Formats: sequence, C-alpha cells, structure tokens
Amino acid sequence: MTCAPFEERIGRYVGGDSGGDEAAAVEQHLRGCAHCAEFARALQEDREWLASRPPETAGVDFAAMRYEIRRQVARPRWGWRWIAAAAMILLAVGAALTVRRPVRLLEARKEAAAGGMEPAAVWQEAVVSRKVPKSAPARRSKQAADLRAAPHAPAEPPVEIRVATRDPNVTIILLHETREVSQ
Amino acid sequence: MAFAAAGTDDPPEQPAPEARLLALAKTGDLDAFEQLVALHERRVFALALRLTGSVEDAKDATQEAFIRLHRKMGQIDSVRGAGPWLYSVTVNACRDIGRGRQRSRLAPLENWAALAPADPAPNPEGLYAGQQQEQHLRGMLARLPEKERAALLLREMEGLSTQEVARILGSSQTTVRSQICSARLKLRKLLKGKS
Repeated sequence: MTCAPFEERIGRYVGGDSGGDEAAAVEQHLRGCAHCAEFARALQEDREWLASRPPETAGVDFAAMRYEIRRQVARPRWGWRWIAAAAMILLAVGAALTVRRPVRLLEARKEAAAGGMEPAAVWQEAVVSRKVPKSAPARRSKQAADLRAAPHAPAEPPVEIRVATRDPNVTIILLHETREVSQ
Repeated sequence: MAFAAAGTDDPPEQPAPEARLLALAKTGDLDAFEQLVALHERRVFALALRLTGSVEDAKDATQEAFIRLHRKMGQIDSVRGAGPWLYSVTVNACRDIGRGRQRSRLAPLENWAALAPADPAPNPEGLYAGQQQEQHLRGMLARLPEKERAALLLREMEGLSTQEVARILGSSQTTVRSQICSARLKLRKLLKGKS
C-alpha cells in the first residue's frame, strides 16, 4: 500500500524526472513512509532488471538476414527521379515521331486545297492508303500526282523501346509504328 | 534515499570503428555497410520484437530499417552514430507493419495467455530466469499502450535520454516523461501480480 498522491511522483523520481521541489518533497516523504520507500525500491529494481536484459534474438539467423539486406540494397533501384526521366525521354521521342507526320500532312493539305482537293481525301491519300479518289478534279497538285504515281513505300520497322523494371521477369516494351509520306 | 537516474544520462559515445564504417559506407562500400548492420542488428531486432511481439514482424521491421539506413546514409551523423536514427526508423517500421496488416500488433494484446508461459513462475527467482523472463517481459509490454511501450523500451532498455526518446517518438519531453512514468507504474503492478 502506497500513498496514492505520491505514487506518480515516486515513479518520476526513480527515473530522475522530478523537478527540484518535487524531488525534495518525495525524498522527505520516503524518509517517513516505509511502504512508499519499499515501492520506490521495487521500481528501481524493475528499472535495473529492464536495463540488464540482453537483446532478445529469438533464434534468428542474422547472417541470412544480413545477406538479404545486402542483396536488396545492392540491387539498382528505379527511384522516382529515374522514372520521371525515363517518362520524359519517352514523351520526347513520341512527340518527335508524331510531329513529323502532321507537318508533312499540313503541307500536302495546303497544296491540295490550292488544287481543289477535299482535306479528307488528302488524309486518306497521304497517310492511309495513298489512293486518290476518283472524284478528284483533274487539276491535281504535283505532290498528289506524285503520291499516286509513287510505289507504296515499305513500312518502316516499328521503334521499340524496352523499359526494364525492378522485377527481372517484367519488361515493358513500347512499340511506335510510323509510316512515311513520300515526297 | 537516493536513486540513480541512469535514464537521464546521455547515451555513451559511439566507438570510433562505427564512425569509420559510416564514412566508408557513405562512399558505397557494401562490406562496410554490412559490418554496420552486424553492429546494430541484434539491438534493432530486439527492439522490434518487443514492440511488435512477433518474430516475423520484427524481422521485417529490422530489414526495412537497414534498407532505409542505406538509402539515407548521407543523413547519418558519424559522431552520434546510426543507433538513434535506427531506433527511430525501427519504431516507424513497426507502426507501418502494424497498419499494413490491418491489425496493429502494437495494440495491447488481448490474448495474454498466448505470450505468458504455461506455468507461471513459482517464485521471483523463477520469474527472472532465462527464457521465461523474456516471455514475461514481452507479455507485459504487450499490455502497455503503444507509445508508453516504445518510450519505456527506448529509455529503460536502450538507455536513450529523454531528449532522444522525444525526438524519436515525435513528442515533447514532458509527454515522454509522463508516458515513461505511467508505463513504469503499470509494469510494477504487472510484475507484482505475477510474482
């Protein structure tokens, strides 16, 4: 049985967490109260017991754990900076490949418009099938005529971008197929 | 009557070899890093085990702590050593593991019987003997609130100062003192009940 108001103060006191006034009050109380003095001794023994406990290893194979840690830290990591850089490169490559076609298409459209061709027909002619619709007027642009006369250009092999991931079994392959417009 | 206030002392200075290992590890020397792991692994694991109460969770938390150490090696003060930083990361890793599994092992365990030995220690000597001590300790720690448990472990078992414990737990020193005192009194009641 301890004096209830002093229990917490004693708890702080044995850990050296009491302020000057509180420590003095507790010491004075402990001198006159055998129960609280016994309680304080027990708390101090608990502290010493805790401090003396060796690290519990629970039979863990630390060498194996160390090996695993080393294996993981030695593996190259795809940090967010690298992922962002790779994404920027992919965007830049994709943009470069995409921009080439509209510029040529725009030029062809301008010429076709001057020659009286429908834009949709130019698109079909220049990009998809290169066939000039039968309804096209006789006055064709030089480019449109060339397109009709030119043999179909062989399709370019697709651009292949391989992105390695952290998982060695997973590789992301990006394919970008382009079709050139003959000049 | 005077009682030693061991917990208020600053932690002892790290030995010189750790500073050398840290310096080498910062240059990417994996052998030095591995030696650094060997230097701290037992204490880190023991802390994680007493925090989580699970060997598997403690192993996961230990690995995570050292992997984070490798990533943040540049932030470690060679003079203070990696110890306090590792304790901080270990406490956080244990919390993360508890949250990740949707059942916090840091919460007071309901199943006290699973952690306590089948045959309670018949006397104080038996209580403080061998493997039973550890089982009793873990069982009692499991009954403390998470923050009180972490504060008590860091202060009383790892010998960190109140300031260090407060920094690790992200609390004020006043709060930490209160948590440690509360944990100390609860532990006394548990020990008294068991003996």
